[in-house]
Amino acid sequence: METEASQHYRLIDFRRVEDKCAASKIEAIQRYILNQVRPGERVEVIVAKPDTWYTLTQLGDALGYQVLESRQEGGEYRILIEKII
Amino acid sequence: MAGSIPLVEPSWLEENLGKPGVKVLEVDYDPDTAYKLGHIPGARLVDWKRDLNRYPERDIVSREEFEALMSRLGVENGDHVVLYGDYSNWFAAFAYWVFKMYGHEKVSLLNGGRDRWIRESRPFTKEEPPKPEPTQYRARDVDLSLRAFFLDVLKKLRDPNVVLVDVRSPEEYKGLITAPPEYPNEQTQRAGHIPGAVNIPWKQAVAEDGSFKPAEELRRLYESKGVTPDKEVIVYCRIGERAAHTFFVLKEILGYPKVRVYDGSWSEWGNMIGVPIEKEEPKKE
Repeated sequence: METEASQHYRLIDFRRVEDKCAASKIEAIQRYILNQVRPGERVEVIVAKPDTWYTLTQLGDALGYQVLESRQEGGEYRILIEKII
Repeated sequence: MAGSIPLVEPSWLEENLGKPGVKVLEVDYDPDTAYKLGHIPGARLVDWKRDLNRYPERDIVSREEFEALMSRLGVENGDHVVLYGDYSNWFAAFAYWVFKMYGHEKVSLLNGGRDRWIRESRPFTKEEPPKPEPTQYRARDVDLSLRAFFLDVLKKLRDPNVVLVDVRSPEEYKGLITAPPEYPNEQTQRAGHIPGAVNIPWKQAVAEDGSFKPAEELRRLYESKGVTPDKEVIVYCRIGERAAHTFFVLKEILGYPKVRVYDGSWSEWGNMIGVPIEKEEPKKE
């Protein structure tokens, strides 16, 4: 089945920082994901930890992005987001 | 619970949620991106920075402050407290260590923490439980046999009966970095490790899903680095939370008799004047 995410969107790999963002996870999401994306752009974010996946799927309204699709693939999660503002 | 190890599996906890005498506490470093977005039904929040640390001085909470916290959370002395939390259960493990220092008898960690609970699609809610009736919780005098201070470590340097375990990343241990850039409050003046310490990063104790590896595998891991039960073991990291995770492994899963957390850790040692430091010198071209 063709999904939104199976189309080719730019990938942002969040796995290397998700264990290291103790200063503030929100700050890390802004710095390593949202600041890399233009308003209206769709990107696919890869994370390894279920807790990070859950956080990303819950913070869209607060941080200005929409979660279009999310799925688990092997040992990782892929979340397709669109930056709104 | 798995035998006498104070560790509960997610299936056990789900079956026992809401039962009298079982109190679930989520211990977070960053509650805004964890507890406040979703938590185990009935769990109450322990904010690691606010609730378990003193301010402005750097220390764990006093006995009176711990009693007040337990009372506010509705915890009775006889309750079975189950701890879990964000960041791979590091801060829940730190809380576990504090609970043991104040003598709480029945306290366990949820194996795998938030990560495993979410991965297994177990119940999660944003609804906060009703405010509990305050209790008359009474803690014991702090058990300092579980804690090492700076001078304790300094006096034990090169003691053949003592082994220091540095659970930070190899880059930190070797002195290639003082702390990752994401931790601006934990930088130090010097990089490296305490002389004689062996490097066994905390993560080597957990499986892919965040739960602890089998005891026999853990025993082989630590013994292969000279961390054996006949020795006094002092564990450290940067601020003490990952050290508490390894404390749990050595003390509770492997049953080592003498294990202490040096919670001053590298953020203290790496800023002290005149203390010895070992580090890997850069290779000459």
